[in-house]
Amino acid sequence: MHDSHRKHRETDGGGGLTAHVFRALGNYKIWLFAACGIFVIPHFSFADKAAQPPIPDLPLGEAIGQVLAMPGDAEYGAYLATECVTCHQQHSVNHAIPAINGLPREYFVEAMLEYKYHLRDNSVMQAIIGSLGMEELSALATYFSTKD
Amino acid sequence: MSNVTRRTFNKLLGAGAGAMAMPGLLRAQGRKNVVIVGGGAGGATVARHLAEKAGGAINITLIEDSEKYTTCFFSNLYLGGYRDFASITHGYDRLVNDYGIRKITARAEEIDRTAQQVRTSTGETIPYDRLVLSPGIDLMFDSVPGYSRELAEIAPHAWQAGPQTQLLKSKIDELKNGDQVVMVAPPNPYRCPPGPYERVSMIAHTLKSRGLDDCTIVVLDPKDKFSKQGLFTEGWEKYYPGMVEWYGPNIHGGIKGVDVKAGTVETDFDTFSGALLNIIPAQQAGSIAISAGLSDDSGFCPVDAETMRSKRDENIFVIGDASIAGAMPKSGSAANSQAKVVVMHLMGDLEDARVFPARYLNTCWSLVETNDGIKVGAQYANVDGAIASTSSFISQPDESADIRRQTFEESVAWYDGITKDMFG
Repeated sequence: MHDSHRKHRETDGGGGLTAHVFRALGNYKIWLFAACGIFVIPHFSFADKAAQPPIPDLPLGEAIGQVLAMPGDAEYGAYLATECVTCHQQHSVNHAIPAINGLPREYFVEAMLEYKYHLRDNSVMQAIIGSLGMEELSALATYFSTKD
Repeated sequence: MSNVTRRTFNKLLGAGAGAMAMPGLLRAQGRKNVVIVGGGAGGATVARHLAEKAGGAINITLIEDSEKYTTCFFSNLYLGGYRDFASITHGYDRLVNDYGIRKITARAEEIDRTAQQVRTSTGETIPYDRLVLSPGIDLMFDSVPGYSRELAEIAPHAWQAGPQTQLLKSKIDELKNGDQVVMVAPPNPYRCPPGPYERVSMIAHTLKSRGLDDCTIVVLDPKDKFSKQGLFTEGWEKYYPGMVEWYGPNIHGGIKGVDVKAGTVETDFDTFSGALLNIIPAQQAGSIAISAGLSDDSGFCPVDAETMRSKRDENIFVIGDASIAGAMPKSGSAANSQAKVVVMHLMGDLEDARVFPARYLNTCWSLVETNDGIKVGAQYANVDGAIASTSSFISQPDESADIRRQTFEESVAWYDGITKDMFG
């Protein structure tokens, strides 16, 4: 590295040159890059937030009843399930992502809706289930309940 | 069709020498032919899921020039010493033996869209009713002046996993205290948006764990922001203070070129020297997709948002890094998800199966330091003709160590899952 960079880093008191740039950006300030007279203007936000569909107004108990009352299209469920099985393997021994084949319909629907209502806190599952409608949940529950 | 039946079917075909190579015989049996080019997260997933759904009713040919496939995803964990090379390398044996897929170890050289056939580097011509292209990326070496395919043997890109990844690892292992690593990050769009920054974390982890705290990693980035930026920079300050320096274009003013033999990268701002240069150039769709006339001016392939069908040819699907998939990033996870939409439409086209509205998913996992995993991802659908996000998630800066460890454990389970989903 060029000497001027090395010197700057050694004398800036820790955290490194870039750490200062990051702090400045993080504070949303325009930061004078004193060593070379360049203005650093932040173009990004640190506050990356998830964008998830809102929790339904319908009380959870009624939602569970509604989904269970649907017949559940197993063929549709088979398609939707291709997304699930990337992570949820048939014979998963890894508890970080459990196996879901053969879960009883009632249990499956309740668990999925608990993600939709953010009563279960895994953000990946909240995002996936949040974008599924009642018909889709019913189809998935029917499909997985019949799998070994 | 059961696996045993499929095996028996293959044996029957195998009984006549070269029978599998005789398209006439296959046509005579009335089976449709699906050819898949590229055996990575897109192509292998299509092959396996289509074989499961079609149950032997469709002839499936997978053309991939590697005997074994090393995943780009988790290759940074190999660099960080968390995985060995064998654990990120997978064979096609189960796809061939258990699923009845014909694997041709060759390059797809040419696609004749009128005759609907693919010519391979081994001189075979394979007919198709439907073709799935999942060729990944080609690197545009000359996007970084002074860099070339040959010079990648000295300054590895390691952006296509395999020998390049091993080369980069061996060069990291040779570093001494006080050495500097210079990474030239790629411009958008490129494979695996968080990948360069996870790599920085893993190189820093390796150096720190060897006691080489005086080493530095300089990232010269053509972009003014990057994926999971807040999370990565927080991690770098926490775990690797003073070791990582990231320069966007506002600071370096533009990357002018690289002198690989001198070990320098020149920018408008200054010339940076490194004992190790990791140059990740700009990218475009794998050349087979471009030579087949399926790409646009961007170098990638426009596709229909509902089906992943090429906008240039209704008999061809383009998935994974080579496609322009709206808001979806170029990732193994995205390719795997797109593969399932394609399988549904292949079954619809060729077997009159029902088709449903497409859903897509992407998850990107990164490791910052031991047991500190972060994730970003989203659900996607066809919204007014474009693949758009319908919900998303991202790790938060203030999360507990428990959540970060749990995220890392999820990523390990995800890797185990997706590779089984691809290779059986």
